[in-house]
Amino acid sequence: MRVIHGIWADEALCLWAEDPALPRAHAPAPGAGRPSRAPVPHPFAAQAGELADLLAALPGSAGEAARKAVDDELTLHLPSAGGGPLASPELIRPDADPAGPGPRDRVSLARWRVPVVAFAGAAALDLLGSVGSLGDVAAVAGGSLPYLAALARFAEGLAFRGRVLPVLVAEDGGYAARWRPVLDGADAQRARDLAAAMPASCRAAGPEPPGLLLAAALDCLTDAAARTRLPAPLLSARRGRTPARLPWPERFVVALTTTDARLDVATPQDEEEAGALAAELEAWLDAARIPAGPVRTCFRLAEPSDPDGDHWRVEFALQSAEDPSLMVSAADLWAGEGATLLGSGLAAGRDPVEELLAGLGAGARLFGELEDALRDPAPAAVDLDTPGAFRFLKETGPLLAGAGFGVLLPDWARKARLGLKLTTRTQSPSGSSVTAPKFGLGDLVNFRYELAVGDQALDPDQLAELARLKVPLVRLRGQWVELDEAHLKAALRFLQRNPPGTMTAGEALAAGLRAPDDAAPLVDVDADGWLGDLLSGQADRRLAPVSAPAGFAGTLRPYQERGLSWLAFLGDLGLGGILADDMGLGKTIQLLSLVAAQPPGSAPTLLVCPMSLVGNWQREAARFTPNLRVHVHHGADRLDGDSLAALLARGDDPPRPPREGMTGADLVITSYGVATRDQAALSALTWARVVCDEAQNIKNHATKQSRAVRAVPAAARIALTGTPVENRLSDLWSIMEFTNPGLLGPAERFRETYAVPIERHGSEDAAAALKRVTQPFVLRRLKTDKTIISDLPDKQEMKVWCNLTAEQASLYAATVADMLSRIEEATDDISRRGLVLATMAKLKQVCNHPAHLLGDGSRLPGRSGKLARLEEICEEIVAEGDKALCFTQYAEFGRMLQPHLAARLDCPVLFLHGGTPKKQRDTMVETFASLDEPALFLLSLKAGGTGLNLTAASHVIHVDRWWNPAVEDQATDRAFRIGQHRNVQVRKFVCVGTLEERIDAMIEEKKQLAERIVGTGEAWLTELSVADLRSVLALSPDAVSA
Amino acid sequence: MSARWEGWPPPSRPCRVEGGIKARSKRGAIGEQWWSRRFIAVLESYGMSGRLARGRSYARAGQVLDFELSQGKVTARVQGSRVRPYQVRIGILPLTTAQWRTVQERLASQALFRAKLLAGEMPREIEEVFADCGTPLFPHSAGDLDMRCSCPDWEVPCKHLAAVCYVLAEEFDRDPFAMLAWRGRGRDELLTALRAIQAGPRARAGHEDPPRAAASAAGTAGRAGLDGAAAPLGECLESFWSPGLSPARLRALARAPESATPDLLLRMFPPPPVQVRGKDLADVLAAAYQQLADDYQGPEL
Repeated sequence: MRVIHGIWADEALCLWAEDPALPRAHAPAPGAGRPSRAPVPHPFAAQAGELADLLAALPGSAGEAARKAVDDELTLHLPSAGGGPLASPELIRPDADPAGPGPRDRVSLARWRVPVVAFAGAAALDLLGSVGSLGDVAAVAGGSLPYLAALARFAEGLAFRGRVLPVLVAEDGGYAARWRPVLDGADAQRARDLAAAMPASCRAAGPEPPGLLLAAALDCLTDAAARTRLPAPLLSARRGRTPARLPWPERFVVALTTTDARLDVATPQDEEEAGALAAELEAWLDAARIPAGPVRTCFRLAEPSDPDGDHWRVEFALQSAEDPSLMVSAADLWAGEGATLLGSGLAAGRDPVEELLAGLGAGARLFGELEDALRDPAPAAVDLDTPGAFRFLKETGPLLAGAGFGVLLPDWARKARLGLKLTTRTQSPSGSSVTAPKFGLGDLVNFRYELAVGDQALDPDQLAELARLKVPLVRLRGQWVELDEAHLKAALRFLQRNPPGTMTAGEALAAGLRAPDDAAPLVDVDADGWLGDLLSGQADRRLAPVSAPAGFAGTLRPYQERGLSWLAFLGDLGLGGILADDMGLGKTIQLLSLVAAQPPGSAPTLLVCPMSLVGNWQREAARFTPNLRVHVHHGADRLDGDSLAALLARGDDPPRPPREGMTGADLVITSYGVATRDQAALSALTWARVVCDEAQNIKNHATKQSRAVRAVPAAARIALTGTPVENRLSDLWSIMEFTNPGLLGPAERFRETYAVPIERHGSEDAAAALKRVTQPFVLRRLKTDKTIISDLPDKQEMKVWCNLTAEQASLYAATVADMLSRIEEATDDISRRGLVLATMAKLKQVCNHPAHLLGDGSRLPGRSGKLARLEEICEEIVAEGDKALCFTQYAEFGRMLQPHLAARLDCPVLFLHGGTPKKQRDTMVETFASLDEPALFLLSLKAGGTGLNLTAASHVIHVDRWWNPAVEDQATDRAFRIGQHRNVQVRKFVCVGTLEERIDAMIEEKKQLAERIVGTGEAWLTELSVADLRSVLALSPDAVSA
Repeated sequence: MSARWEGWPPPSRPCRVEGGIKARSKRGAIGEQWWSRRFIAVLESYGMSGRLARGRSYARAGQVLDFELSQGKVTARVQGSRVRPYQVRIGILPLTTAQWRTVQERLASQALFRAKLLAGEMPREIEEVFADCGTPLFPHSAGDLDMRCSCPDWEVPCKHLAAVCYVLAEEFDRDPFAMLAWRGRGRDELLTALRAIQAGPRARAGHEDPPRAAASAAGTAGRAGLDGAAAPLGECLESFWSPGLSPARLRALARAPESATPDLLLRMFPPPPVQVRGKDLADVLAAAYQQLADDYQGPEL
C-alpha cells in the first residue's frame, strides 16, 4: 500500500506518496562516475497524477478537492543511505526484507525531487479532515498526516472560537482580506507544543524552523476555516446603483467572506487607501497579540461575612498561570509579602504589584466597577451590592475568565440551585424489591412535590415572599442561592397545578428521571421500595445478589452476581439496560447466566454481535451454559425466515434431546450484518430479549444496523459495551434509544438539552440531569474499583476465540491439502518432520493473517478474524487508558502489525524483536514504562521472553501461540511480577475450528500430559500418524465467520 | 503630490530610505489615542496644513531614520533631499525635581494611574494632576515646544519637524510612559519612585532598586513565542517520520474549550475607527464573530 506524507510548503498542503511497487533505488546509470550534485527524482515516490487519482476516490469534499488539485514538485531533504532514500517505517515492501539501513550504511540527508499534489485553503482543510479515511482508498498515512490534521483541527477551533482578527495583507501584487489567528495564553502554549512535536519530515522542504512553518500553516488554515463558517456576505446587498469604485473598507469586508480573498489595486489612489487600511488593521492585530505572562491577575468573589449583609467583595490576587493553586492576595502584595510564593513564576525583575496593577488596568475595560476601586492607593477588592454580585456571577466573571484573567467563584455558585423535589411512597408496606413477590410499573405510589435547594425542602410561602422582593441572590438556611425569578415562578406555578396525590410507578419513574418543566429543574428525588432502588442508580448494590442458576457451569464472582440480579430486575420490569463493565470483568458470563436463569418455556434470546465475535460467543456458551440450546444464525447457508421460525417452534436444532415444552433454541447468535439483512425475518419472531454486544456498533443511530436491531421487537433489551459510553453523548443517546426507546427524547432535543450544554458550555446542571436520567439504566463497574479488585484474581487468563475469513479458510485448506499430498512422498523421517513443521508454521501464519503467509505486503484491514479481534481489544484497552504487551512468535508479523495498529489506535505502539539492538531495546522499555498515556508494546516472543521488566502493562495478549505453556508463562510474567499490584488480564488468541483450537484443547484437557508432551515445543506433532495429523490440522466448518 | 510650491526651497524629492521608522498609520490623521491626538493638536494649531501633510508622508515613507527620547528633548535624524540627513530636535520643558515629587505623590495616591499606564493607557485623570502642579502635561501652544531643524527651510515647523512629531505620536500611542519620560521621568525611574512611596517611609530608607526590568518585552514577543530554534534536520534522522507526540496527544492539543463569548477579542481590542457603509467596522464584525461560533460543536474526537 502506498504511504502518503504531507508537508506544508508555499502556502499549501503538499501531499506525496511512497509506492512499495517501485524499486528502492535507481539502477546505476551506465558509465556514470561521480554522482551529480543536482537532486534526482525520488526512486519510489508515486507520480502526482497517480496520487491525485487515488485521493479522488476519497469520500465527500476531500475527493472533490483532489480532482481539482494542482500537480507540483518539491525538493525534499530525506534520510538516505546507499544511494537511495530510506523508506518511511509505514512502507511495507512485498519482499519482507526489513526496512532500514544495513549496519554499514551511513545515513545522511540527501535531496530528492518528489512529485506532489498541492491543496490550498479550504481544500487542505477537507483533505486533512479525511486522513482517517485513507484506508478506504488502500493507502496508509505517514506520521506527518495525523500531525497536520491536528493543526487543521486547531486552526478550525481558533476560527470557531473567535480567536481571529481580520487583516488586509499585501499578496501577489495586490491585497487580500485574511483572517489571522490570535494565539494567546493557553492557545500560544498549544501552538508551542505543536511546534515542538512537528515531525522532521514536515521540515524536509526548506530551512524554516518548526515555529514559522506552523505559523504559516495556521495562518492559511485558520483563514480557510473562518471562511467556511461565513458563507453569507456580512453586508446586505447595495440598493440602487453600485458606484464604480467602492471604498476600501467595504471591499475589505466583502472579501472577508468570499472564496477569493484577493483585491486588485488599479490606481495609485487605490494603493494609498489600501495601504492605509492595511496598516490600521495590522496595528490592531499587533495590539491583540500581547504575550501572556507566567502570572495573571485573578478576581475572587467573596460572599458577605455577615449572614444578613449585602456587602460582597471581588478580591484581587496574582495567580501562577501554570499552577493556579499558587495565589497571593492583593492585600499581601501591597504589604510587600507573598511574592516569593509565586517563585520563579514571576519573571526576573518584575514587580509583583505592577503585574497586578497592569492586569487591573486591562481588566477595567471589561469590569466597570473596577475603575472606582482603583481610586484607592492600594486597592485589594471591589465592593459590590447583591445585584452587583449577581451581575459578576452571570456576566462580568465569565467575561474576565474568557479574557484570560483568573476568576474564582464560591462553590455554591454552580451547585446550589433552587428546584423541585419529588417524594414518592409505595402504598403497600414498603419492603425490599426482592422480598415483594410482585412488582411492576403499574403499582400505585403516593407522591408530592416540594421546592428545595439541594436536598433541603423549603417553605413555599417564604419563597413567594422572596419572589416578590425580586432579589437575585438570597440566603436560605445559611446558604446563598441564585434565585432566578423565572425559575421560581415556574416552580411555584407547577406546585399549584400538581398537589400531592397518587400515580403509577411507571409515571413516577418518568417523573423522577426528568424535570417536569424546563423552567424548574428537578433537584432531588426521594423514593422508597424498588422505585427508590432503581432511581438511586445503585440498584445493583441494593438488590439481593442472585446466585448463578443451576444450568450455569462456572462460578460467578460477587460483583457478577450483582450484575445478574440487576439485569434480571430491569428485565422483570420490562426495562432495558446497558451493562458497561470494564473489559475482562465478564460481561459475557453475566449475560449467559441471565439466559440460563430464565424459566422454562421462555422465548429465546437474540444476541447480535460483531462478526468477529460469533465464534467466541458460541464457544463461551458451550463452556459456561452447556444446557442452553444455541443456534448460530450466520453464514451464507443460514436458515431462511420460515425455517428459523420452524426451528424455534419445533426445537429440533441441536443434537441434544429437546426438553419438554421448550422452544427450539434458548439463544440465537447472529451478527450485525445478518441482523440487518434478515431484519424482516427476525422481527417476525418472538424474543424474550434482544442483546447487542459491543454496542458501540450501534452508536450511530441512523445506520442501517442500528435501525435494524431497534426494529426487532422484544420484551427487554440489553446492550453490552466495554467502551465508556458516557464520554460521547451522541453514542449514549443512540444506545439508549435501543435499550429504552424514547427515554432520552428525540435526538434533536437531546442535543439541545444535554449534549450542547455539557460538551460546549461544560454545564454541570445538564450533566447532573443527564446522569439522573441514565444512571438507573447503566451499570458500569471499573476494574480499579476497590470492591471489584478484591473480587478479582491477580492474574486472569482468558481465551479469545476468533473466526477465519473466507480468504484465510481457503488458504488454510489449500495448505493442509498440499501437505497431505506430499507427506506420502516423504521418504525419510527428517524430511517428513520438516514438512510437518513447515506446514504448522504456515497454518499459524494463515491464522494470523493471509498477508503474513503470503508475505506480499498486501493490505491488512478486513482480511483476518484474528486481526479484527486484536484491533477491537486493543481499542478497548486504549479507551480504558491501559498499557498492553502483545506477543507474537513472528517478527515479520509484528512488523506488519506495528504501523497498522499505530495508525488505528492513536497511541504509541512500540515494537521489539530479536534484531533490536540492546541500546534501543533499553530505550523502548524505559519509554514504555514512563509514558503517561495508553500504549501497546509488540514483542516477538523470543525477544520478549527474557530479561525485560514491563510491569507498566496490565494486559498481556498472545496473538499466536508457542504451544509451550512454560514459554508463554515466562512472557506473561514480564507484566506480572512480584511487586505488581495491578490485576493483569491475559488473553490467548485461538482460531476456532483450526489446529489452534485443537492443540489448545489438548493442552487444556490433559494439562499434565500436555505439559509433558508439549513442554518441549511442537516437535511431538511430527510424530503423529497421517490420520492423526489430518484430524488435528483439518479445518472444521465452523471456522469461518462469513 | 503636485503642490504649486512658492518660494524657496524649490520642490525636491527626498532620498529614498531603507529601514527608516515608518508611521503605521497610512491614511488620515496619525495618532489614535486621545493623548497622542492631544499632542498632535498642538502641531496642527500652527495651521500650516501643506507642510504638515508633507510631514505625514515623510513619516509614512520612513524618512525619519531614528529618534531618541530623553529628558526634555527628542533628537532625530530625518532624510531629506540632501544626502546628509537633517538633525531635528524638539525640546519641551521638563518638570523640576520638586514638581515631579508632587506629581509622584499624587500618582501614588490612586492605584488607577499605575494600573492604566501599565496596561498601556494614559489615564485621563493625569491631566488634572499635572495641571494642579502648574505644569500641564500637554504643550498648549507652539511656544511650549522648542523645535529646531538643520534644514534650510526657515519656517517652523518644517516638514522634517512635522514628520518627527508624527512618529513621536505613534510612539506615545504604543507606550504612554514615553510622554512622561519626555517630561523628565523614564518608566523605570517613575515606577521605582512610585514603588518607594507605596512602600512608605519604612522601606524608603536604604531602598534598593530592584534589578532593572528586562528590556521592554514589546516587539520581541514574536508570535506567541513560536520563534524558537529547533534541532537541525540532519540531527533528526532517527525519528525523521514521526511526530514528537502520539496522535491522541496531538488531538488533545488541537482540542480547545468552547468560548462563551465569541466576540471577546472585539470587545477587548476595539477595531480601528473605520466606517463601512455608514456603520462602525466593530458592528459589522460583531455579526461575523457570532456566525463563526454558531452551532460549533467542538472538534470531533
